[in-house]
Amino acid sequence: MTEGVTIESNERVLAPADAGLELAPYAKDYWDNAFEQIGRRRLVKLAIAVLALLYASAIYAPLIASDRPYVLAAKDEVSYDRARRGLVGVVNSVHELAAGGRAGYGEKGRQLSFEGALDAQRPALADRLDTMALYLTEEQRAPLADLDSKLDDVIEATLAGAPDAAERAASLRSQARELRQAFEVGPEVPLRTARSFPLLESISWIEVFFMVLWACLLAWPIWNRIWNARLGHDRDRMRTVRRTKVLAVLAVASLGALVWGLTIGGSLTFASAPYKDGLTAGTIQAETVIFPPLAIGFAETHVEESYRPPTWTRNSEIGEDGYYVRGPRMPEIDKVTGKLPATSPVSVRYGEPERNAAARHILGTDILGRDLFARLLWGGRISLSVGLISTFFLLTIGIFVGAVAGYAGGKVDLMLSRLIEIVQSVPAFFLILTAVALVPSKVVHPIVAIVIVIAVVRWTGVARLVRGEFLKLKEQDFVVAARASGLSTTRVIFRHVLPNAMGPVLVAAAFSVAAGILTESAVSFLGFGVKDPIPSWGSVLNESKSAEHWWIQVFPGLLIFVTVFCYNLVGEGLRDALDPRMKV
Amino acid sequence: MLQYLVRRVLWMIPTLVGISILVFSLIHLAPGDPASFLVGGQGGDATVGGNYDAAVKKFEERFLLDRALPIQYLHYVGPFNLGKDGHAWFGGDGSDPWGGLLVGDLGSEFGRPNVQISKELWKRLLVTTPLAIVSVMISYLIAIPIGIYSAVRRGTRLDLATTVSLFLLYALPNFWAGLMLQLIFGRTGFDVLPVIGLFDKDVDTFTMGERIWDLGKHVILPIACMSYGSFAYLSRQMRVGMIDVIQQDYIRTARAKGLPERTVVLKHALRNSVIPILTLLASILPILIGGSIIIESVFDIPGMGKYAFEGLVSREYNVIMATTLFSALMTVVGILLSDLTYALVDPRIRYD
Repeated sequence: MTEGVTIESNERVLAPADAGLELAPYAKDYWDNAFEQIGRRRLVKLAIAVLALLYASAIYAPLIASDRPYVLAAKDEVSYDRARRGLVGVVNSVHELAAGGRAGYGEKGRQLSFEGALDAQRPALADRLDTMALYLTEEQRAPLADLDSKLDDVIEATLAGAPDAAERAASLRSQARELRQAFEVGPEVPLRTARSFPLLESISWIEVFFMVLWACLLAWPIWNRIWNARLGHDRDRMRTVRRTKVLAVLAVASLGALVWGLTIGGSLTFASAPYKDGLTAGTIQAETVIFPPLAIGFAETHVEESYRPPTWTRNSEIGEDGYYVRGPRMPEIDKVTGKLPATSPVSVRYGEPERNAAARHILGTDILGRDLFARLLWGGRISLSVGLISTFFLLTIGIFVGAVAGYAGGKVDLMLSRLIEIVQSVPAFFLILTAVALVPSKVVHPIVAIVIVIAVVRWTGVARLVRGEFLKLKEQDFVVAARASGLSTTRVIFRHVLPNAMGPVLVAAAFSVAAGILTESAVSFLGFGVKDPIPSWGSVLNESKSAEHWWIQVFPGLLIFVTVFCYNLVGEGLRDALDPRMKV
Repeated sequence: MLQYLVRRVLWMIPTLVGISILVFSLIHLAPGDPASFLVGGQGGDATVGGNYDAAVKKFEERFLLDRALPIQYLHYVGPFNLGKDGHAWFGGDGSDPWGGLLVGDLGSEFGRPNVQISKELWKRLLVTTPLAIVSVMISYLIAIPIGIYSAVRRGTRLDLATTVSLFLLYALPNFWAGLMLQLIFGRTGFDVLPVIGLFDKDVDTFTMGERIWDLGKHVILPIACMSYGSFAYLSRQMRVGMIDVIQQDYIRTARAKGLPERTVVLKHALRNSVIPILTLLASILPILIGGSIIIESVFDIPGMGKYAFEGLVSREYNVIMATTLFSALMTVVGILLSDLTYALVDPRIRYD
């Protein structure tokens, strides 16, 4: 359809708003118009791009800043040795249990039952054997192989009350002792380098789902163009595959998550990883280590760098002795003792930028010396999702109530309208703050509480919009025709009326995402929101209100501001594109 | 009209009752009884000889925290005092028969039992309300000219610039704006304005003139912070309203008569476009009073918002109830007022 292309370019030259409709060789539907309108606004496109990047940085946070290496090929003599010595410990306790029997154990006052205590030994041994096996070759670890099954036998025998259980446990013990001797690190037992992927193992399948999903969305301009080209740029065919495209993206993401869950199956952990300490101290001898671009975890502390300004600023320079070289943090000699205040030098761990490198703490640190950049990167996960999730829930409530009120009319409408009026006069921020402040965080996680309360308090706007649209649409010919042809009420509502009422709802959604993000950050800023260690932008902002720590106030706030601004812009753009009547 | 007004006022009652029950149950269902830590915090009450359990019991009796929740709620609402010293009908000794919300008694603070919350709230409102009124006035004073200007010069580069910067202001989180203003004008920046509180610490030594000057310097930043949001909103509305009016036939007629553009805009167009903006006032005021919770925390101003914040932090049940109900009342009245002003301003709107 070369014809279509030339006319489209003509349109751009002439740029009359309505001329396109007459000239277009194909009938544009609602979404064609919407995309075209959005495409015309450079600022809106920019806002969408910025938001896409912000979400990308939050989704890919672990790949950008983490204290776990992507690849670690290393020998860890210390943990090998700990495991080797631990073998005997496990076998010893099994022997004790076998020899003493149930009576000797004395279940009273113990946390574990006799069976439980025995059972706990299996994973303990397996854990140690796994650690050892990591650094041993196939041949080397052969003698270890049957220890596992023998332990199982002894445990079974003890549980069954076999008379020779204690005896067998004793022989197992002496075998373990021999093995401990034999496997001591030395020229006889050289350790091999083990390759592991700690960072990938800490990524859960849900994260993979979003990572793949986002990769698909970011690459959309490319694959969409290719796909359309294969359809011959035929508008009608392109229109029919729209839903297929969405489903394909979701399918690819789900498939990725499924494969990940079945193969690597990592899980998200908040604990700091031991790798950097081991590498720094030299207990882990590494051949290859590949860290993410910033090798600092979001919960990793550097207490000696408490409240350090961004490292590219002049006042952030720290000498070798741990004292600030210049600026307001320069140490002063104490008048009473005549000494400098105590401090400790900066410890630069393995993989981290140098002490005064600009990239070390590019946005400064907080009270525990945690890197602000890493915290904001991870914090985006909470801040950005709160807006989306709360909007999802308030849309659900609002659409439901509005649809019922508008479609049913009469008494139902009257009652629901009163309900909307009542909820509307609730002081929203006060109620959200009260609920989040009073509901204990152990019972309901603060983020969940915020999301729920926002949805419960703020659905009225959407409900009114949907009600209005429904009142208008239900009298129109196509709805009457749908009803007359005997379709069920649900089908009429969801397939015929609702899609035509979605324009204003989408506009309201964009604004309520912004409002949700603002509310969460305000609540967290006042100190009632997210608690450590998972940060949100608002709670990072709450960490210091002192003007001396400007970086803690400037950067998170800037992120909130940019996000809210972009969402408002997108909302405006959508309003112009989807709903010309609402144009303000 | 009167009928409509009466119906609307009557509808406020279930709304307020609903909100009060909701907040009341939220407060009391959340674990973390204030009795234990308040009594513990006092380090042993002298009257009970440091007996902790007895002190807790006495405290709970005083505030009826040991009674069933509905009883506590009814006691809070009034008009009967249901406590030990309460009305004889409810097993009290009759020494203090009345009490509760309906007779204007909002209870007292747990931490300072001698402080009547109604009096304290009044004191705080004397701080919050003037600030809110001044910032509303300032928003209007700036918003109207800007709205007119960008409507008249629609499509010019300056109009675009104002629209974009108003849009930026609109998205600016007010707590962050407050912090940034403190950074810029406080000791870390230009060091020209005080950033905390309402008065200097040695205000007692000041003369009257100095006091006013000092207060003025202290409130500049909070007021700026309270007004920019509504000002951005109002300007946008003003611009839209003005553009709407300018396209009307009677404006064309006025121009055709040969009236100077100045008269057309300032006399004929302005009067009609400013009215819808004025009706927004009723909805802005309650928002400002609710939003004061953030501004007053940032600038450490002892107003109602700060009071609500302190109440939430130290779990002062009665303070939370009082501030929430007050802001709910403000919201309800504000919505009613804005609906009524619509009718007053536009006779085409009829209520029935």
